[in-house]
Amino acid sequence: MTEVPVDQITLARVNLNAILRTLEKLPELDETTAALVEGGQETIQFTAPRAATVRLAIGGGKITHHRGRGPNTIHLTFPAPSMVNAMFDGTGNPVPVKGFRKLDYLKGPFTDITDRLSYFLKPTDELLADDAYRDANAILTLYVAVYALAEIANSDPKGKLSAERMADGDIVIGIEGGESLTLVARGGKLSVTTEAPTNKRASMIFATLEAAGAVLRGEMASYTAIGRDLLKLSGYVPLLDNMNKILGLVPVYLGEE
Amino acid sequence: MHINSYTHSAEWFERATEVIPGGIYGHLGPAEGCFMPVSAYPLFSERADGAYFWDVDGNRFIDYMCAYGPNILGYNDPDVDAAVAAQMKRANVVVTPSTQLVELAELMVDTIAMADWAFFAKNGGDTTTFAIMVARAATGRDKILLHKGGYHGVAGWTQKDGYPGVTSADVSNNIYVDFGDINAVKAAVAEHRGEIACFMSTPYHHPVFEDNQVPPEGYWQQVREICTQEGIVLAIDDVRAGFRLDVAGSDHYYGFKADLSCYCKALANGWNISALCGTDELKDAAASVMYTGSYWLSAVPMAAAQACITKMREIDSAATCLATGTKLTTGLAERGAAHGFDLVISGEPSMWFMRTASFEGIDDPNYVLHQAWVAECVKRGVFFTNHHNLFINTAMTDDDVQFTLDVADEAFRVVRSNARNLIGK
Repeated sequence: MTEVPVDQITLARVNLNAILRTLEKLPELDETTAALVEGGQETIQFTAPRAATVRLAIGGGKITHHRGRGPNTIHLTFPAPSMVNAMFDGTGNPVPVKGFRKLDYLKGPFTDITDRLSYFLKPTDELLADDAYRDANAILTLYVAVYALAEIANSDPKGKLSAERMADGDIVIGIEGGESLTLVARGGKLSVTTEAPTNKRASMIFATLEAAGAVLRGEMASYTAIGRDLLKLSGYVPLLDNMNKILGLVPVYLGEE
Repeated sequence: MHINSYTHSAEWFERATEVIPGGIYGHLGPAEGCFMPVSAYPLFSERADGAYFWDVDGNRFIDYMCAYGPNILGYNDPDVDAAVAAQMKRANVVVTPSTQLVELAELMVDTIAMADWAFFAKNGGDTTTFAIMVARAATGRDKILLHKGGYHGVAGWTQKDGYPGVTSADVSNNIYVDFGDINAVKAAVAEHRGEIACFMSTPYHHPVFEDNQVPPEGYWQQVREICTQEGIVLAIDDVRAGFRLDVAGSDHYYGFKADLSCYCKALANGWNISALCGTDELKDAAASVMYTGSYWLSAVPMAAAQACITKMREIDSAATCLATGTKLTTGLAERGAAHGFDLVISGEPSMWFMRTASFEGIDDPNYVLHQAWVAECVKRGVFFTNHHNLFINTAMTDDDVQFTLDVADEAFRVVRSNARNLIGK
């Protein structure tokens, strides 16, 4: 089947703001990553004009994602958004403008960390047989999907049309009794916070982590999950309706189509 | 009161998901935002009679969706069913049409005040799209004027840019104005003078998720005048409201005359047929448009429609539904108020919209209270949906209304105990 066209700027934003931001959650779920980020602080700035500039601070046992330029120890630039995407799919390299002597860090620990994220986001039947892996996969996939949703809403031409139709309000997306994220709609733009909502208007809650994983991995259609009452919608439906239109674009950008 | 359980519905849904996209698709499916929470709702029916249906778990429901409108006389109406049975013995789909076609068209012209002719199809969307094509054929213009939030089916032109399967080109000729804003209509017409083929609208504004609006005094008369002056075809999408406001048409009810009127839903009490009616001025244009479908001339639904229209005229279905709806909605609002809830009723009583706006003065703009109350009603056998207008049929009795009010009262009492928690106050 013909692939749905992907907007390169949006994809670069998804890579820089969704994939990299999901790294924040990884040390909590993976001991290997936790060990990798125990050492001293490195701050990598990714600069991609027309797409995004972000920094990833790694060290002291955690990873934090920051939007915009700022103090850094390593600075990578991407003259075109497509170069960001090439790096993420392993077919291209950035241009380092600072931290030449730290290329070993990029090729070593940083690559190891991103490989761990890929490991959890690209499941196999064998890996999914392990309960801990299944849980981590479900949680990380939820995070990356919600983060990507906001980027697509603010950048993809069709995503923007749906986002502009959304009233102001917060949508809680999560797992009953477990992880949750808050999708914030303000002025037709979306953002994501891990904080509790300040203006909750709707929610989309998976009944179990298992159900979340099954839907997010594409093993169960979301419509089926709703019919089975494993995915519970509540609140101001027009917000959910438009959000779901954008959610339908997420697999296009996360390479799941 | 008995609280329903849905074991067999869930089992059938599992079977459905194996072979049907989404299990149940479209507006009868659980994912369209009208059944919230899904756990309160039956998913499959087993039988129906009069005002009621029974699900596959044996639970009985009074159906205030009326199958989303078609059920106007009550399920299994004996007069309609007798006409169906008689025609089935004769023929249904044949290489030439039955004379039912002519007789039904004659009956439509005699019944619908604006109608000089009738054209039949299957679904409401068939007729709204045909109306646009007829208007374009008649005027040679491309653009169409619509009310924001109006529903006219599922064809590309009726949806929004960016929705799955919809292209910018699908909606590029659409111009939108707010319902009831005559100045916006004037401005749009002035901006696109000589370009607008058709102004299509429902007779009053009955979108989902928001209070419905009846037309402001004089609105339609002014729209009619503008359309006549500017050579714009005025098409009324009476698919949902048809025969529930006035058996002669909803334009007749509101005191104006449409150029085209679309009918479906209540036309044949559940048998699959729709109709576009028009004035003489548009008859040639309608004939010029190539528009047909495999089953559009099937005779059995035409026999059903004749029996249904005849009975609707005899008993004045619209007046009956309006009276029952007024009695019911007044009672529902009173029951809500007694428990501290402000149940806001809008639209016309025969197909009203409602939302629980507040509890003891605390607003709930997010429908959480309403979803909770509706769920408690459904679990006790009163089938409401959360955010769609509801429907009355002529089979509903005073006892049915009383049963509904009793259920509503208990449902409000149940929700009241948790209301502040639900709205986080």
